[in-house]
Amino acid sequence: MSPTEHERLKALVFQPVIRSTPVYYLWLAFLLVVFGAGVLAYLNQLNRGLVVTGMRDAVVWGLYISNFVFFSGLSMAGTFISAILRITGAGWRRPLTRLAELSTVAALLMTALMPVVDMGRPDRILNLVRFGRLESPLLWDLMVIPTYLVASALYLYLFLIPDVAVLRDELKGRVSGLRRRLYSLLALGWRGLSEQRQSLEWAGTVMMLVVIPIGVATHSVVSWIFGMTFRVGWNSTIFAPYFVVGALYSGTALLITLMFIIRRLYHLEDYLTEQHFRYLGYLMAAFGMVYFYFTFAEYLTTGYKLGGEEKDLLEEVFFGRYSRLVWPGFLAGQVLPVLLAVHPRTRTIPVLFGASLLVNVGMWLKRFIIVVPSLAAPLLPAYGWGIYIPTLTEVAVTVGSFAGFALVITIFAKLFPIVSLWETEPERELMVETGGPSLMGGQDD
Amino acid sequence: MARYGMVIDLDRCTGCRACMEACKVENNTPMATFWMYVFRFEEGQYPNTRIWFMPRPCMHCDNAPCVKVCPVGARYKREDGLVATDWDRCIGCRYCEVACPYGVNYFNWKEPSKNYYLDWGDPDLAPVTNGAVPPYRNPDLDLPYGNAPRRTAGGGRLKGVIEKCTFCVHRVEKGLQPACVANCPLFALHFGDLDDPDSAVSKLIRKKPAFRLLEELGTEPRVYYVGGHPPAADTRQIEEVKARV
Repeated sequence: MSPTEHERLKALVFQPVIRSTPVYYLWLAFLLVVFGAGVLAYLNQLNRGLVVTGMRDAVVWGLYISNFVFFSGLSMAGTFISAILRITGAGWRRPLTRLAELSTVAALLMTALMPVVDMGRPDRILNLVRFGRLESPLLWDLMVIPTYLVASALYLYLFLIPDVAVLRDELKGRVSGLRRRLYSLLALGWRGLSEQRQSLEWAGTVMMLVVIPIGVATHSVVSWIFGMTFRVGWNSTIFAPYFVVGALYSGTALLITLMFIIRRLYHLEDYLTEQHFRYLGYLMAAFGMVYFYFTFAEYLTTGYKLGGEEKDLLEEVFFGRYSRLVWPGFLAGQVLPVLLAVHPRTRTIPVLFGASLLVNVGMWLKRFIIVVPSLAAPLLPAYGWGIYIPTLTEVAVTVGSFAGFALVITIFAKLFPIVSLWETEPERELMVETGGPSLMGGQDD
Repeated sequence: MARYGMVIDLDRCTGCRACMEACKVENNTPMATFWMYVFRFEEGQYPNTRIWFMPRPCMHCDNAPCVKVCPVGARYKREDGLVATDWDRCIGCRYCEVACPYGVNYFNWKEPSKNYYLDWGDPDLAPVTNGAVPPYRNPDLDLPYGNAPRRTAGGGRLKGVIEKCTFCVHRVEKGLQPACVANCPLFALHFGDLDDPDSAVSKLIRKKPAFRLLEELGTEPRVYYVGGHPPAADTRQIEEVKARV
């Protein structure tokens, strides 16, 4: 890489850290207001009890648990791009790694928050530590999600060190003393020595090997919260792999969304090319097809027999009161994005961006359809169908949690470069040499 | 140690719901909470229809799904077979409610100070209630029972925790029958030691064909029904009143 090239990339990547535009502050204020509204709604719920939600004794879990599953799915983004693509040596992931890992951390923070919001007695949360019982699937989640969060945060931090060192060296006098001290603390004395690089590579490899099984475990355990009960529709052996594939689908789509936004905001058109989008689009389509296959297999095995309560559930889901959510979610969330991502005429950057948004809207609906109808279904033939209509409180908390997710990313982007400078540079060189990235090309390190 | 259980004679039940009332008075449960509920069922097509009634307490399962999934051990099994709730420990995750296939758990969605069946604020009621301040609470519910340093009896009163039928452990510990059993005017409900072959419950199970609800799930319920059959797909509730809203 030529020195001018290096300076150009550095300017692009570091610009937002040094200077803030009014748009940034407007965006930040907007997120804070939305997040604050969610917090206020939650405080009201704390004060008056869960009666302010639409949940009652028939449908005891609602939007909060749907969000919990949804955010845990989003968290696959970073694990996928930084660990799975790293292990397969796909060099083109490099400009994306920071953002992906960051969104994993942000998504996991919200994942961890949602069950707490759903709790009737959050003041007794330490009982989970004092009296925790390993027999309960909830405790499995309690163990795996914080582990995942810590591992992902560590992974994010490791590959941040060289860039923080640059910040420490270059921003002298241009930022407040507090921030400079933060940078020099976090840089851990990084000077780019070859042994430092070696230990960073080594640590990265270890973390990669650690994070993949933890990611798989997280999505499995989330599914088992449901799979370990007698509820109709949850009594399924394929729930764990089903949820893992759903997370991969959701996470890849989130990456495309974020890649589009970052490309625009940071003017990285030279570094994030249409090729990047197309490859991620292929992966998204592939996961979408696997997810579709799982969905099909799941419903066919219950639908073919059409016995008893399963029949009632499927009828209610596909043709009854949930059909208005199921069919749009299925067609727009699972079928359309796959077609858009593979068709030569539609796999352009803006269309893929739209498709990625559709995927996650569809996946959110899918989470809702997994959680709510099974709870509303009558237990004994004696009970009637439960009714669940989310209230304003739940909607406010949900929207607030999405704002919280964006807030974590926004604030981080102000403190640290959101595109990894030292990782992106060698990739750029390779692209110049070979004329573009390859899907799983092995020119990683 | 006794192994307590309940036997419900469906031949005798007339659906009067005195058991529900007795339970509410004894355990002071708020509105929309039915530790004991009596389903009123209808079966068949006109003109060949039949009406029958099915009381539903907690099944106090030996292999209780709610005990398994409770993350903090607030739902636990006592040595005498009763499934109890430590509402001082419950974190309000409602996983027990999700796991229970019988729907016997009730959550305190709000401070249960209002919506008792008695309108306590009514001045005409003051002489009857002796000026008791709502929520009235049976003092026996807050006493310790058994060796475990845990809540056993009662429920309610606390916002954000789960509650359910306790088989009136506070009465059983004193040698009394649960309130629903003691107040059934037709002796449809029976309570006693299932291990004792001479107890009324054991005799009744031997005398009539018995079934347990959703026995096929392997939950090993402690509540036996005699003189009827389990609700089937064509069993309809005859009224809009719901055991769970």
